[in-house]
Amino acid sequence: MTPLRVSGAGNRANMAAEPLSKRRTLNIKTIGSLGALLLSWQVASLFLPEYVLPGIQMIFQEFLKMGRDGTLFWDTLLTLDRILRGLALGFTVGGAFGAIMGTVKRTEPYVMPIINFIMGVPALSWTLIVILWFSGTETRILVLMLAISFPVFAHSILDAIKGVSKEWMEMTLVFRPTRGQVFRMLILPTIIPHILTAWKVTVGFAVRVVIVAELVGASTGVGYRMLQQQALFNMSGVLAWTLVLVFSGLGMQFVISMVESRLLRWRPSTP
Amino acid sequence: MPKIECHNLTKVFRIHDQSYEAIKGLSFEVASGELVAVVGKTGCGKSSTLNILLGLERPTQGRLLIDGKEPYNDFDFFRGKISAVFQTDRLLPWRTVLQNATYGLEILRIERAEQVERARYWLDKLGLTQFENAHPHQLSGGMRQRVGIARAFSINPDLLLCDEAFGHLDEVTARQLRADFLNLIFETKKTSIFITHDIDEALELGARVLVLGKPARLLMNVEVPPAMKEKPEKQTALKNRIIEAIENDASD
Repeated sequence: MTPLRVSGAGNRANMAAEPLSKRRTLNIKTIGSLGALLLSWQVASLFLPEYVLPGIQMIFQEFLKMGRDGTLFWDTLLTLDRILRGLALGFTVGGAFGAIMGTVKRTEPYVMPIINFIMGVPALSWTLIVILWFSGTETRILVLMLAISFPVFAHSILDAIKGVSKEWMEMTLVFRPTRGQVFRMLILPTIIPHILTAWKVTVGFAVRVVIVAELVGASTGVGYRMLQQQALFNMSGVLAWTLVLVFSGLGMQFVISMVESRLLRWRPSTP
Repeated sequence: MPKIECHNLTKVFRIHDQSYEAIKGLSFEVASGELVAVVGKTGCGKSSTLNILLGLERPTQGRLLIDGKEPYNDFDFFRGKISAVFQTDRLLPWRTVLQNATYGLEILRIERAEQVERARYWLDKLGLTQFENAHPHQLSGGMRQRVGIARAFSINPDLLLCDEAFGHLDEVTARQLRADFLNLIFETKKTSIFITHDIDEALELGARVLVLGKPARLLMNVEVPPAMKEKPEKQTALKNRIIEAIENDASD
């Protein structure tokens, strides 16, 4: 009826349908390729000794065993807890540094070199350093997670704050907002996507690092269980715990993606 | 007392040890309720003048007073008193049309129900009622600019500043929007300053036109009589005088 047409505004059904169908074809492809991998695995396991490549049913049995003795649940939970605690601390510290550099501009040339230096220290070096510096597994892992994650968060939040549009800022300032209002109504909504991306990156990284730490300096957690299985020459066990790690990392990233698509629903359908 | 007094305003920028004069001794006055167009070449310091009016930049020398206060130094005095419509719509993409229109009212901490009521009133006047739940990316450029205008009017400001507000739109859309905008200005009798590089637009909108040289200072101050508005051919002589004044100023 009306001469005014808005592209896509009237037909939300279309907008929702498109990404859904895309996701479905993606799933078929994903299942297909993973299925092929599993199949060739299973075939290869028939020709190789069990300590090199155990069959899928062996790994499955290993999972049942881990489930029965409670390690599957408790050690996974413990490792995830260590990661999340450490990243939460890293996010707080890194976010504070990023916010300070972003708002008090003259601090950046002093603070950034130090952060970059810390970021340049390899995760493995940090693992050895925290073992020498601190006692107690939890403290060591917490400091390790902090050291590897806070520079990433500081960088991403600084970049995000720098990226807040000058035009939007001026538009907002004309209304004479308080500092809190500027932060809540303009800065926070613009930096949230950057924060979520930083979390996705650091979660993947943290899973890999926490395992090394548990391997060398813990008596609980997924890394320690893995080491135990390796000492017993139990390849199925090692692989089962590896899968736990893979799924933990992917699971956490999936949760972040869900949060992302919920918070960023306003975005035009992804390019 | 005039609403706006600008006396001998000067703005000098320093870029890499080079100073650059954007405004050089600009003086003018705007009375309450006036609609004044400011016209000048691109890069003649119009934007700097606007930013000083908005309190976003500090003058290097001279004085600019709105209601006897300096926008930069008495920044918070102007809370809820000034609105601006910019060249680009500057809508926030994560907010719906309605939420963009209530943005200023939220900052002013107006009660929620009244925010919505006032924003809807202006969205309705600008023909956007049915799009209040759409997001900016779903709208055309002209409609987005309409939301920007609704956002500016909804706080009921004393002074409305427009910077090339229709400069990004195609001629047909711009013409329609200009007419609607003028109606709103007449209806609300708001003091308005409309900055543009388009002489025709300045003559169409302004009851008075200030012609700026480069760097910005007053070259001409002309009244546009209502009779002239109705007959565009009568504007030609005036338009030519303005062009001539700007050309003669081009000593750079």
